[in-house]
Amino acid sequence: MTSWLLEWRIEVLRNMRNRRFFIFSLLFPVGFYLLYVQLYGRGAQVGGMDWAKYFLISMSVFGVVGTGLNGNAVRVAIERTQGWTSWMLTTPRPATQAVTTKIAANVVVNVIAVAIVFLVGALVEHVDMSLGQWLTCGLSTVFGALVFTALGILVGHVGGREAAQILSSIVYFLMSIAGGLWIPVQVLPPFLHHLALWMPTYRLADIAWSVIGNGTVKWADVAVLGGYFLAFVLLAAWVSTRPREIRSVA
Amino acid sequence: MAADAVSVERVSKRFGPTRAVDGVSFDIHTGTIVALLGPNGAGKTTLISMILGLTQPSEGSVRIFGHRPRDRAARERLGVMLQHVTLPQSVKVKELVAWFRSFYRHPLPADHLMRMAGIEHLAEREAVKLSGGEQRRLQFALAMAGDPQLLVLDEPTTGMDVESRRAFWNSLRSFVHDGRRTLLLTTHHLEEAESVADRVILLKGGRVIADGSLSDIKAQAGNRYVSFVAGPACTKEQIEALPHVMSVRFSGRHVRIQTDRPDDVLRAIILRDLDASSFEVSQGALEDAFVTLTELDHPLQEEGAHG
Repeated sequence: MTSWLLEWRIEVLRNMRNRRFFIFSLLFPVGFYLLYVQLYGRGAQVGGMDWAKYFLISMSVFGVVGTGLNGNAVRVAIERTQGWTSWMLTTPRPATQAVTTKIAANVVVNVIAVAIVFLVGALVEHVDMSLGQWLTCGLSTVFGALVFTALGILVGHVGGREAAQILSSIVYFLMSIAGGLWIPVQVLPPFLHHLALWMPTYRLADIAWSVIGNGTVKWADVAVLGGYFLAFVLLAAWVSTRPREIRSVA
Repeated sequence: MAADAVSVERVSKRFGPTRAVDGVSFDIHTGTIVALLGPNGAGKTTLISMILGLTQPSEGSVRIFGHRPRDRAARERLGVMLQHVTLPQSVKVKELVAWFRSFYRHPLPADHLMRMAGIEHLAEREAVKLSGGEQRRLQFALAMAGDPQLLVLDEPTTGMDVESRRAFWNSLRSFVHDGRRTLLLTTHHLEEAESVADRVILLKGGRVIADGSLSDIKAQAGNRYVSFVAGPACTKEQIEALPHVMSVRFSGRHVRIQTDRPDDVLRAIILRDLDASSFEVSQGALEDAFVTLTELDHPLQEEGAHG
């Protein structure tokens, strides 16, 4: 097994062993999905589709944003500030391996998170979509969520050990609310509606909503997401390979 | 001619107005064990971190086997234990060992590494949940994963109990003393440095104040000691009246005189027929030399053999 595959496997296992993953990416999305569908009725119309369908996408995206931010930010922060990253810089490990294996591991975790929310939607709330729709929505959410993986890694690098946890939680909830995952953008005031259009959370969910609504992918969604992804990856890669200045204490 | 394992050339590091490391030069030949010592704030950690390529020197250059420290060719041959490392969460011991082994072309076998570090029974445990000493031993196994030709250990025994420390040095000694591996280490336990190092580099205020073999360093400190067991007829006044006595330490009946002329002290004891037995003349422990040298106000000239 090459070093890359081995590290990828370890990163997947680390995600699965993390309690926050179960709470924020499995328990919360499923719980809120069932609750809100009960509250507003599964047949209520939002964005030209049933609420049960619309909110299924919202909560899938909410879940994968959580895996990206919660799973990575704190770990990266600890690794970076507590000597681990410095230690790794003294080994022949390729500089990009830390970032790429974390991102690839997040894909696996996202598949699990999305599959569970989708299963609950299909089995409990009887959401009815074609196989093609299920697959397109699922895959776009899983891979689109890489934007948040990269963001989580970036937050970890920037935030440091103390701030990473708080910072990732703030970013997580602000982006989820501002992106219309909790309250549909259609009912938001104009200013917030406009803001939502620039949120990667909204753009990610909108790919699936468009696929369900009119059977097409909006390229504006893909372009905005792609832009965010590129920016986060480049920033994270740059920060992670910069050697940290160590002041003499001993 | 093969390049030296480590070559440090006129290296300085400034942090604002202060110079943490100030014009340090030395070469470490392959196969030697070198202890880098100095009081707190002497610049040891900064120097180590520049040797490892984690910090850029403000001036001067570092080479590892002729390569820049950040080059892959250098890192292939390097094994490192840093002073403060938090191991990654949710990773088992055996996974970490496999992970590190995967970085290198010719890693040592995993079971060999674990046995050497005495952690084979911890393979299934989560690494961060191990005790401090166990984590240090694991870090040693990871440092050895690539069968390194140069081992750099920054305070390797921190957090270990006495028993683990002894086991650690024993396994290290058997591992390094084949002339193929080079070891550079820092430690607060001078008796450990004394028991393992071929050469000591003493750092103070960012400068090298002494560099040489253990006996060079002790000679440079200029300390000589005459020790004996005083009998009941021997009084404190008699001992203090001896010539060339710089200081006297009494521990029960055991007396240790610090002097610059041990022969004259001995002669005086015999001629004055003091009630004393079990004589011993020594240069003292490394710790004595360390204290003497680091307490001097001005740095001594570098002298003595290198390496």
